[in-house]
Amino acid sequence: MKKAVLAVTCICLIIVGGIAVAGFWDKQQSEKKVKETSSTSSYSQSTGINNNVPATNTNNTDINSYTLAEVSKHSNKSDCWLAINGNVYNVTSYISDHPGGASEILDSCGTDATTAFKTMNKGRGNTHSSSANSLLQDYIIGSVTK
Amino acid sequence: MRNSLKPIAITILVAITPILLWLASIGFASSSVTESINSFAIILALAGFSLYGWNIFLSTRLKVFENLYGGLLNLYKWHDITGSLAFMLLLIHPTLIIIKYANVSLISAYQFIKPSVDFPKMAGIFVLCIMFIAVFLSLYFKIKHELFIKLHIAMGLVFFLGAYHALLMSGSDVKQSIPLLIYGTIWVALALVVMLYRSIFHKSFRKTYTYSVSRVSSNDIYTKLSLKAERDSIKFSPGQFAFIKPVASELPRQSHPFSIVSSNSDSDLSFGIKKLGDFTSMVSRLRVGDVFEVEGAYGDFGSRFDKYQHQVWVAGGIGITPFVAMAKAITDQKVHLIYSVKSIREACFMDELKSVANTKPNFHIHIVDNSTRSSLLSTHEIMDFYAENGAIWLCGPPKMVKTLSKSLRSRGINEGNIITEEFNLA
Repeated sequence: MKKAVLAVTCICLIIVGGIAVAGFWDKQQSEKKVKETSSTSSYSQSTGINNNVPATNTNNTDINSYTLAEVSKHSNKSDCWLAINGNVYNVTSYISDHPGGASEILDSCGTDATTAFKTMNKGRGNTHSSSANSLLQDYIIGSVTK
Repeated sequence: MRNSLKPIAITILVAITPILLWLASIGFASSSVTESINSFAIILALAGFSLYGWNIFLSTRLKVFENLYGGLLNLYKWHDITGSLAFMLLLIHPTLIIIKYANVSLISAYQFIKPSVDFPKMAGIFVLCIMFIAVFLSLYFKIKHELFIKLHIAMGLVFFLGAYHALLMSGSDVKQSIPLLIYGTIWVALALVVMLYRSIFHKSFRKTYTYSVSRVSSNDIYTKLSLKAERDSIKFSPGQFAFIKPVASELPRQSHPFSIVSSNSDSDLSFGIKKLGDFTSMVSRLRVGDVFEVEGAYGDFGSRFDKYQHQVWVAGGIGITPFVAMAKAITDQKVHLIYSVKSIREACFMDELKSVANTKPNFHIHIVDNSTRSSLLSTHEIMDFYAENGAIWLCGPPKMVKTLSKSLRSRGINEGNIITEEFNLA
């Protein structure tokens, strides 16, 4: 039994460690890519892609607002914006990373996806976890305005 | 080799029950690879949780468990196995979840692994860490008894954190399944009772008897501790052991098992205690009148003692103790005792054994002094004394017992004629 426990523990640690490292590296790569394409979009550089603070940030006055009409112009695979809970997110680089599947996001590109996000539409009706929520904030680019 | 059929069946039953409840209420999701991996992860967690709780129940030493598992020592062996199994299942569970995310993208797996303020997730991780530390320290290191006990209490306490995780982790099926909720509640409630009773109130689930020290005779190798009963005395047969816990003395209030060396006709209950660790080294400091709680007797080492005319007893080191009691109970059996010791001065209870040999000519003692030999006791030497249809009793360090038992069997001795007791609770 002792050997089995040791073996299983080592294997699991190696798998998890390997995935963590690979995932971290991948994340760095994709952030680099997004930073390169961000020069074409109109939000301030200082908000940064890793800003976990919602768009209504009092420290930064350069936050952009978009109407839903504006958001709807970004509705395809290579340019996908979502409006969720009054904020606008550019999730283009995330689509293929979505555990629930790419189509779930693609279906909502360019629209207000608040309900879909709240109910994991095609899943078992659960709401997204808090870690999913904080991940979402990484993609924030502005807020919704009338 | 004790019958493992019942313990195996019980283990499978405990592990499978929540899985069946889950299959009946939620069901296996197979519409995508991701969902299938997730379902497997849930199955492992259900089995792991169930076995974990079961292990807490086994720690009560209740008579029903002792009987189910074929004796107390077997119960402890299966407690180890059950705990190790639960740990492995609960370790593979998050590993599969992480693989599930990785199957979609490595980044989403990384996002899941990375620390975040998700209390159910943190609870799960904490439980794993405690289990990891406790399992590894207990299995692979020789740790002090106090630490061993504290680790076990910690493992009992984190079971409830595990239940919280199972209930509230996002994506958990438990809160959506009434059968699982009921099962989980029952498990948690029972575990709570056990933890309160044992770890908070320090009570035993078995009857304990009050004794006080009547005599302590000690040398630098071992101590013979004699106790006299305050009211009722325990019932025991030769070859059994009992748990003794000092409740009013200089020693720590820990319960430890020792073999009984006295016979039923002796007025006092005596134990043979070798100086191996903290507790056993302090035993010589006991004084007449110090109070003990005795629980037992346990063990079936001597249970077939009356059934064989020709017996070979092989004792290694402190493994001599059950034989001391058995020797006093010899009637007309022809017994050869082979006592293997590191050196002659390490031989314990020789005065008592020699006095039996003097009064019973059918009892012969053969000392094997390893300091004067180049090789350990061999099966050949044991076979010299073995008579057809007789039986061989082995008691001593686990390695000695396992090795000798295996080679005796390879020399054609029937497994049923080899009776062993490994002193593995030390």
